[in-house]
Amino acid sequence: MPAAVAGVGWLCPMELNDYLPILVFLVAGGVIAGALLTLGLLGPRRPSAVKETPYESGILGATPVRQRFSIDFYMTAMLFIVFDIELAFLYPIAVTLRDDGMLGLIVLLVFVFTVVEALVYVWKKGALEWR
Amino acid sequence: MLESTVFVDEPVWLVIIKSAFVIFIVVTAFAYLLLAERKLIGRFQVRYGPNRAGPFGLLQPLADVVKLVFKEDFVPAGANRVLFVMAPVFTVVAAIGAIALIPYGDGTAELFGQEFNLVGADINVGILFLFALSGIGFYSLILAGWASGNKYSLLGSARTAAQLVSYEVAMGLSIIGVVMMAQTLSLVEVVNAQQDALWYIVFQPLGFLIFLVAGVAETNRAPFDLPEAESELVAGYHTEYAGLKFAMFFLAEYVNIIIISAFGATLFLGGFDGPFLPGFLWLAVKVSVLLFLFIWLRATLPRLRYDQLMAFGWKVLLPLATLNLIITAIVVALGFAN
Repeated sequence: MPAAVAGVGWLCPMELNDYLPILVFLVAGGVIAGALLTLGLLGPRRPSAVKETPYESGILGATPVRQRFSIDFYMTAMLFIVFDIELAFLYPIAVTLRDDGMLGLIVLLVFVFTVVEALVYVWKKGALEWR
Repeated sequence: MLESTVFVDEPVWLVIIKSAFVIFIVVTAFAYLLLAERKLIGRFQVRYGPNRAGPFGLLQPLADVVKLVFKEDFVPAGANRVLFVMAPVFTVVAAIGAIALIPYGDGTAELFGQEFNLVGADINVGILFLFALSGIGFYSLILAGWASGNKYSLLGSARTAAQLVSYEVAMGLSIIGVVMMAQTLSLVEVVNAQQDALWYIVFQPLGFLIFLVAGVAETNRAPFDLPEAESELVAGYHTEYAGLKFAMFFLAEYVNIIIISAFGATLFLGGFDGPFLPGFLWLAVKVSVLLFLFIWLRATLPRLRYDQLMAFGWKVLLPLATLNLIITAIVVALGFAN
């Protein structure tokens, strides 16, 4: 029997009741962060134009801050989406695998091999090389 | 199926007191983890480490906080002010929220005549929820770098994003073996399944190893601390942060290390399971061992080059994790692991 919080029927539907402690922790995190931000106001305030320039090892920035950067970052992001969705599909199969028996195993293996094939393809295409 | 743990319904005030207590313990653990790390690294390098503030330097965390409070904390001129301030808030909220999911005892306990559950929240998708919260944590690091208006920060956050998502895949795959054996995504049930059999590190040594390596990368620790490589990026995504905003990133980073250790202990080392001692002590012992490992790694290994880091994640960890997944699937489905 899952843990439940008593007496908060007005706040959320019954099915979400076991998530409430997480909400309490998240709010507590917000309180801690807010307290730290407020405490930070105790520090001194002596702003100056030079102090507020972006830090670049003591020299003035010669080029704009937001420049283009390597295509590899975008490649990684795209590959991540493919493999993270693989993960999202694998978790439900993994939970029921023992009960699904042979059929479940075959379905899982076909799915995993499809994704592995994609990995081999991008590997051979050089998408995993960092230039 | 296994017998489910029986939990009691808790009134709201109890949930609040309990969470405050648990968070207090974790934040205290964070302060002393920081001190322990500096002490241990000192010893690894044949130094003493901090030993001036209080006996054995035990008041050092307090001194650090006082120092950080009275540092000037400004927003640089090129920054997006709102996001610059909100980024550390998000990272702290996500890190603290994750604490709720770690079970620290078997079922319920009684104190002052009030029965309470030895877990913050036992939800049936606990493992996925932990991943989701760590995903929200990533956002804040990327936001911090982008909002700073600084080249080093921006590059640092781009690196962080690429590194974290790469190792997230390996970490997710390494856990699937455990999920298959335990037939559940609830962290409490995973521990229950291990009480009935052996700890999953016995059945999943490769999975544990991959989890550990990916965990080190996920928390931006050496040798995977590329996002904050001092020698090339100054400090990465938090270059422009000072004072308590910087401290918030530090807090979140170390709380995340504690969470990852507790997560690993729960999934692979039996969590609160162990003879004689109460459950939370066993969890503390296992977490401490993993934390020591984190510090030991930092003291021992040099930082990787960025292309090596990405190649390692995609070409070594990901195929190995997939292999581990396939082997586990075959063994579990054919009924050898019952």
